[in-house]
Amino acid sequence: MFITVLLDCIRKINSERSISSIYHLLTGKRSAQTLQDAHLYQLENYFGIYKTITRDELASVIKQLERQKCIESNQNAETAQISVVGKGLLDDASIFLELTGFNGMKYENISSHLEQRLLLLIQTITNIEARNNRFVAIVEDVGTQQFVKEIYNTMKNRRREWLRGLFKEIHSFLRTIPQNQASIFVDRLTGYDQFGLSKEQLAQKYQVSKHDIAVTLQLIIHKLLTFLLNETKNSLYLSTLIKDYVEQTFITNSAAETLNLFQRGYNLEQIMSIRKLKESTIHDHLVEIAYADADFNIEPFVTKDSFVEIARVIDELDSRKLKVIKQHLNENYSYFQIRLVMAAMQSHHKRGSELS
Amino acid sequence: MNQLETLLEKHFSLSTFRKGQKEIIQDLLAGNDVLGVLPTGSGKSLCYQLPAKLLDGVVIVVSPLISLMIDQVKQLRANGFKEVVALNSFLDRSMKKKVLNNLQQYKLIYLSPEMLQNKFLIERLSRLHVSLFVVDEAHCISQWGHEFRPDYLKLASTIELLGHPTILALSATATPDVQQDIVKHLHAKKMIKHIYPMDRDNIAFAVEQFDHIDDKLNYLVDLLKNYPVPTMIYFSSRVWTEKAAEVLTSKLPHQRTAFYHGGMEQQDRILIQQQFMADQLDIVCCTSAFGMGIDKANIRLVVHFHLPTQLESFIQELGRAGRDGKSSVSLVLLAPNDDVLPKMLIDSELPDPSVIKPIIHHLQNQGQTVDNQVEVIMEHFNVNETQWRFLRYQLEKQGMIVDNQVITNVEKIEEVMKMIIDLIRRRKNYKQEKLDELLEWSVNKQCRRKGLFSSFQTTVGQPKYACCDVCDFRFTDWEPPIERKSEFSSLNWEEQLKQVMMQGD
Repeated sequence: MFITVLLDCIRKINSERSISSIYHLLTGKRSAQTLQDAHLYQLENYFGIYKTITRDELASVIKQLERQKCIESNQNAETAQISVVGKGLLDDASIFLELTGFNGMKYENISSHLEQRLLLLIQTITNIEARNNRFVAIVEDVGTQQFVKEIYNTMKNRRREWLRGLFKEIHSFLRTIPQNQASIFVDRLTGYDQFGLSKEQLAQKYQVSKHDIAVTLQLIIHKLLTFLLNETKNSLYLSTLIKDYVEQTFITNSAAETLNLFQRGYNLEQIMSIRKLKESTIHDHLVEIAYADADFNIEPFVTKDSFVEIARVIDELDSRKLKVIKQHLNENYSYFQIRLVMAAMQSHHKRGSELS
Repeated sequence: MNQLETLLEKHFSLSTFRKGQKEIIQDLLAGNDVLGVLPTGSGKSLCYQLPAKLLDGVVIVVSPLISLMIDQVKQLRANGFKEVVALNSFLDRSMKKKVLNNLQQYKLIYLSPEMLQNKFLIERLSRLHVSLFVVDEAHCISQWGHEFRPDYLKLASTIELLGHPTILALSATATPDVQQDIVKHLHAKKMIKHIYPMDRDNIAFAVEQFDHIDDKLNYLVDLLKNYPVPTMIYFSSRVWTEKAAEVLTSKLPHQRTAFYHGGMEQQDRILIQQQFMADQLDIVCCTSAFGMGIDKANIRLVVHFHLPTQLESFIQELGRAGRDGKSSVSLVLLAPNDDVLPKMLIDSELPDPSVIKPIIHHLQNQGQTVDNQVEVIMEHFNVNETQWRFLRYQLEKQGMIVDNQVITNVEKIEEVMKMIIDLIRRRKNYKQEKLDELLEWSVNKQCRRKGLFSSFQTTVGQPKYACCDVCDFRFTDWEPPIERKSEFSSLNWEEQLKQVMMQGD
């Protein structure tokens, strides 16, 4: 599973970004560059799905892929390109199906909360139901403990009802996902006197790598989130675990500030002087905003006609190399304009596919 | 039933004292200073927790083990003892302020040693009526102890500032030399010593020699095949714990084996530890990171695949066996070059003297705060965190670093350098001697029990089962209680989910 994710990243990035950009993507780095790359290469789904991986671990998997001739990397191993063998692996339809369900950009900020809260809530209710008030919490995070305590206090006299309700909802969710994923999910749960398996133990039991387990657990949680958001009425118990969830708009704080000024009618020069920032920085912000918001009006910077022309060249060339695109447009447009069009195209495309 | 027992029952829901507890508490209540040396897991903390309930005024506990301290506070609160607080550097500013302004409401205050430097806190404490001052891990006061803490040297003056309350010094590992040091540094000449032997009569000792390190693993496989008992196996490297767990899992399919080390995610660490506690695991291959707060009663076998760097740690680790008093074994496996790893560990704890001067020069040339340069220094001069902490502490102590800045006095550099280099040499020698002591014990052909505890106590007790492989112990004679294990779960996920979530049909 992890290898397919990596291959998918490498194929889409196509040597135009470094391997470390994949590291930033997987660990969910909140920088303008990482967010833009995620949009640009349509890798939003993988944003932040593996926050605990280290650079060394990623490097060693990349090396392994190279040895298996799935990818070819350049001399300094800074960038990599997918090989025929690697493409063959990805083209298998079943593998592509396997990757469906990730939604990192949308769920990144809630998924680990949901996972931790659910684990702790089940441990808490089952232990107290078994009259064991003194148990070692498997989640140490104070915020999570606080959250679960609050929920518990509202339902402590209805424990059986809650256990039954949670069980039914989890059960019906697990029936919507592949059997082995359901099985991994259940093995991870801790109840009374029965502790869940660690990632290493799961890896051993299912004969996959630790990385596979890490991303599979994330995938399951993403699927659970989609299930909860679509079927809120049929998942009243589980939904309390995400009651504080609000969909995040994914722009950096600095870009948000620029957007605020822009919406209040300030022009580019004025924003530059108010914020004491360089023009290029403000440009970065505007591109970032265009990626995040399909309704963002880019006409002050690119006229309708220019948009059509630039978009046509981008489509024709099927490349994201700005320099090449600029040349094909006879140097008539700035990098900023081209980037803005790319962003707008993508966010329109994305909205279109969400609606369909 | 005696009055103290009644109070114990009332406040802690326990019906009897463990060995030593009652004697120590009686002395403390009579106002005598006490030095208590009790083996790990014998319930040292009750010796001050019960007096905290009984005495007027407040009990102060100084302990360097912050996580243990936080655990204890949590446990006490969960059991209804609410007038307790832990003050340490992890507490955030506003909380600290709140606590400091309401100190009089507590019966039991835990302090980390660095808090002793906080003049404001000491001033506040001196306004209270302190009835008992507890020094936990008291061996840290001695330069000869294996965990010397410079902050502990300030304890005597703190005790004086607090108007000489009764003192309780506690340790699980204090040789007579160290015991003397404790009495001396705490200025407590009349201290009554309660020394309880550290040898445990239900643990037998064995050492096995091999020609090659791989033979150790083969031996273990055969041994554990015959004795499927709860087992801990100590290694000195993370890689080895994983490798051994893999081999044991494949060769012993009917026993549940896992590894544990400090490089694992926190949640996975908790899961493994709790599985072992709940008898969901039989064998844990671990580094010394495993064990803090492990109080599993039925560990039958503690194996040292690698030896630690000193007797004290070894005794502490093997002491996790047989807390329930039943027949248990400590087994050490030796192979050629076993001393290489611990030597490397010792070396890695102290900086190479040749980097000191360049580091000082670097700091002077940069003209920035020391904090700003930590990463650069560690990377550029190849210094690890432990080494840097040592170096920085020494440079601050010698006045080379003042207020986060390096001073530029050229003459002083040479003098300080000499001192630090000399200190490193002495520390290394001392640690090397400690290691040699343990290595020597492992190859010596005299009674293991006597050899191990001779520096802590004059005699050893009569073993309950067997003594050691030199005296009388053979694995073939060993008859540990073997508990019937729950079967491996072969439920499908739906059945298992029902079970976890208590949904019977």
